[in-house]
Amino acid sequence: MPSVQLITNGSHITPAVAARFKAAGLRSVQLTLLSAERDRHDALKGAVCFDDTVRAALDLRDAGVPVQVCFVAMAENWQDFEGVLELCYVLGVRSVSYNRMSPTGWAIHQLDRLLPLVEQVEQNLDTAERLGRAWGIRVATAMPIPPCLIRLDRYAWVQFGFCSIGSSSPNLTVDALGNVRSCNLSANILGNITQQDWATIHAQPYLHTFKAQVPAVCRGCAYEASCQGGCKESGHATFGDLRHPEPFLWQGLHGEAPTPALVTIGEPTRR
Amino acid sequence: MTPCVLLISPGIIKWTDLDFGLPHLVSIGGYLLEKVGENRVRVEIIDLGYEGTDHAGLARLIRGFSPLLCIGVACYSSFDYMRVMALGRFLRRLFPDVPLVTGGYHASALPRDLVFDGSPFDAALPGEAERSMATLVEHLLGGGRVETPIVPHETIEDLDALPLHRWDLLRRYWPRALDIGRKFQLSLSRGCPYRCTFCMERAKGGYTWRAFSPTRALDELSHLARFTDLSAWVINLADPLFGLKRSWRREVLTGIIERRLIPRQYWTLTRSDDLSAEDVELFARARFSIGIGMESGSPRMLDIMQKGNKPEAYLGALERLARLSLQHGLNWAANIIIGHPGEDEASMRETLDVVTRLFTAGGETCGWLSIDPFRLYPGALVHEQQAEWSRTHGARFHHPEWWKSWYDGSFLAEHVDPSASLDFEGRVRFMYQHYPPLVQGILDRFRGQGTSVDRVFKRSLAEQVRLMSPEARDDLIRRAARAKAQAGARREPAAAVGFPVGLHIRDPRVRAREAAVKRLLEDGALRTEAIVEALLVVAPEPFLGEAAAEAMLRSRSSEQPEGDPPGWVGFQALALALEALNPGAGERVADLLAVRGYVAALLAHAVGEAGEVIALHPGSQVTALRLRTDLASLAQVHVRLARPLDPTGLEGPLDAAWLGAAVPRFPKRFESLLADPGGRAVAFTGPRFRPQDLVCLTRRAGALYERVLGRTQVPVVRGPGGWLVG
Repeated sequence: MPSVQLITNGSHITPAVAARFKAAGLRSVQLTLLSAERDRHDALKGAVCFDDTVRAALDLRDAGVPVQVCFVAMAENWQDFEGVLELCYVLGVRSVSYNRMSPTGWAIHQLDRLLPLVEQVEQNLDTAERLGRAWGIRVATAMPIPPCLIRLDRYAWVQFGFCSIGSSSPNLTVDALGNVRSCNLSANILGNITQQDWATIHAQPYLHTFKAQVPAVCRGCAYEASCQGGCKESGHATFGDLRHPEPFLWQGLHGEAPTPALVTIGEPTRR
Repeated sequence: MTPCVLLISPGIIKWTDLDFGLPHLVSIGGYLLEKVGENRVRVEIIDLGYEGTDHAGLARLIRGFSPLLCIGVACYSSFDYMRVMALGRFLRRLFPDVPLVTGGYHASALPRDLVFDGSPFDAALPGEAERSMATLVEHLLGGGRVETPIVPHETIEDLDALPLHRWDLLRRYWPRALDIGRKFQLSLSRGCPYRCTFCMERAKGGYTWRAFSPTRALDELSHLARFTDLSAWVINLADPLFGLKRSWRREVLTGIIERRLIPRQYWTLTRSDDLSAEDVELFARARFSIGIGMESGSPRMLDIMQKGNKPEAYLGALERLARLSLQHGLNWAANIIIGHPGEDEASMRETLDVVTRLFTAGGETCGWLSIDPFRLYPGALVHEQQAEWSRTHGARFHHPEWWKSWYDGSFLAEHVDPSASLDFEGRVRFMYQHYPPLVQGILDRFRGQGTSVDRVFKRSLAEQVRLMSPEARDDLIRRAARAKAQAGARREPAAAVGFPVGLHIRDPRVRAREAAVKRLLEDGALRTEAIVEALLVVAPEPFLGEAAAEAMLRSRSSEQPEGDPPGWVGFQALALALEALNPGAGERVADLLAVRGYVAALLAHAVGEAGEVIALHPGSQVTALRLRTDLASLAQVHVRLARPLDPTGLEGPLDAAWLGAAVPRFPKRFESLLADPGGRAVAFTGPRFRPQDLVCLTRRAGALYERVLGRTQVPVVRGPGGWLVG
């Protein structure tokens, strides 16, 4: 593997584990921080892990393993972003992945609580530009932020990413059962690597027709090819159609959170 | 040729209140002609409220009076201050060598507001200016220069020493007199001995009441009657206090009746405490309506206002007037002030009770009620002693120099917290809750004279009810909240405008345009004289049509199918853009989406005849032909048909370029056309569905440097480099 990044909450990272990561040549370890306040972070994560995450960041730093912090901006925590950046600075973390929440799964029924407003994301980007630049913390976004809603040029410090499905470096996901999805948000299983060969899975039309399916409002837009209307998997999960404007775009167009058209089966339970 | 002394009244912004006459200027003019001599000096008077011209017409008119010895501009009211300063700068630019002086109430109260380093005015003449102006004119005729910036005040003790009013000085524009007003202004006395705390009269004439002798006063009216048919006019006897002395008053009223000097109506302000049945009858027979400065129904407030030491007797006199007026058919008005410093809820209730009793105790009333909020006027005792009023009563004056704002002077002047227990909002809520039903009740009971004047009285009452609507109340409260939120924020002083504002004020389109410009001056969005001038001079209506122009001036952008080039953008964004573009005389500039031609016309005004404006028109041959016709009078504008966002055929270098639509980023194909260094472009860059950044890009050493001017939402445009392609 030319490059490996590990995503974890840090609970099992010790100085010895960190040293092993270093020796193995991990590109970086991504830790999630939803708030710089212990109680808020743990409540939002649904697990008591804030202290572990902070300790892991320090152990990794001491071992010389690059750390990236992931912040998922939701309606409930977008105001915590500045605190998280400050904590990153203190912990010596110099890379932050900023992801505005993109609902799939059960989350589509919690849009009012979870989906951040465009204005809130914009304020977070202002913060990223101001403090990231001042403190030398690189900020990148993996979740697409449609340029028709926010002027991305305003944030020269922030590196913006768009959906990688159908690109030369897709973010294909394999779960513990061997199921393959187009990305970690996708509900659509392309195949199973324990049962099919890779060529068969990769030949699935879903992957190859994905880019061409954009919302009608995006047709003819200067960013149609690069942006594709944001996170279409979220649109698919919420409305059952890749060509439906995804919730963040829909909200930007209509000024309010959408009502999901799909019913997810059963409320998720923690096992 | 005999040199000319030119006296200018800036007119009043509330043009519906226009009085004809300008007795203060006519008196100065007549005095100059008598004392200096008509063989040595000419006098001309310009009343900008009546001239109905634009700046070019004004310049032509004044040049026609050459040679000019001196120009005097009346800063009569504090509401005129900003316009007087703008007019002063305009005149200074036109006539750099002609002495420029000013006078009037504001100049009397605060002469240093008008004469300071960098002011266009050479001198202020406080107080009554007949003698000081004559002295100055003699000095100038003798080859002297204006040497004293604030000329000492000389009160005229014997008004009979003044010549009869030279109404012939108004003859030049007299034919326009009846176009607007039916009210003619004249004063038969000056000064007031009372020391009411809210009144600015003391700044002009001190505390001495002086009047023409009764004979001379009647001669003045006879003289006027020979000049015009009095029956066509409401004569506003604008004395600070008409008929202070009973004998004088009776002699004048009797003379008016005997000489049959009866107009449509006389209107004047007087006091009620000295009016007997005989006086009321004389007033009625002479066809007067009188205004009484009642001010308050609270003895405590009357004492605070220094309205005399027997407030109960004063209020009793009003009740007597109410009874007598019904017997004799005299219409009268009681003026009250609500929210004077020291006011509290109890005193407001007392006043409400008193006026309710006064107007509703009987079946009918010949009186009506005029309700004013307290306003802070320079020259008044309250203005001079603000710190003391704050210390004693807890009053807060939120805008102690409100007249230095371009916009909303009326609100700023009244934005006062009267006392520690009553703030502005409390005063407004009380006034707007309790007075409209009372005024409506008075309107229902009002008994007029059975003449056409009754309509005026009733309209005044109905107007008051309308003005005290819940919407107007909420608007005032909102404005106060906004002003408080902005308090403490550092604000740049308003731009020094050198272009006359308030000309041709009867034209609603001009009023709307000037209001929009003044709002932006006040916001600080407009700073540059040339841009202000262009926005005032170029009317949008011929390019956009009436409805679109109105929407544009209200800072709304045009609406059309997405991708079509917008016909216009909101006025505020346009003003900010022009300020940033800063098109200079002789420059080569471009309107890259000249749909209607309004911006091209503005740019043409800014670059002048030596400059060039290229208007890329994204339309058809037919619409391009129409645009060329619309812009035909501007030889420096060249209209070219072009596809939107396509610079084909456009050659650089451009000193400035305006792109009036939203694009993702400024199109690269236009970048290289900007002059290097210093070429500027202004465009709206950013989101398709949300507000964009209004940015100014400046080219230096091949690179563009961006400055964000503001954020607003305008329509996007289709084309290469646009939001929509194909």
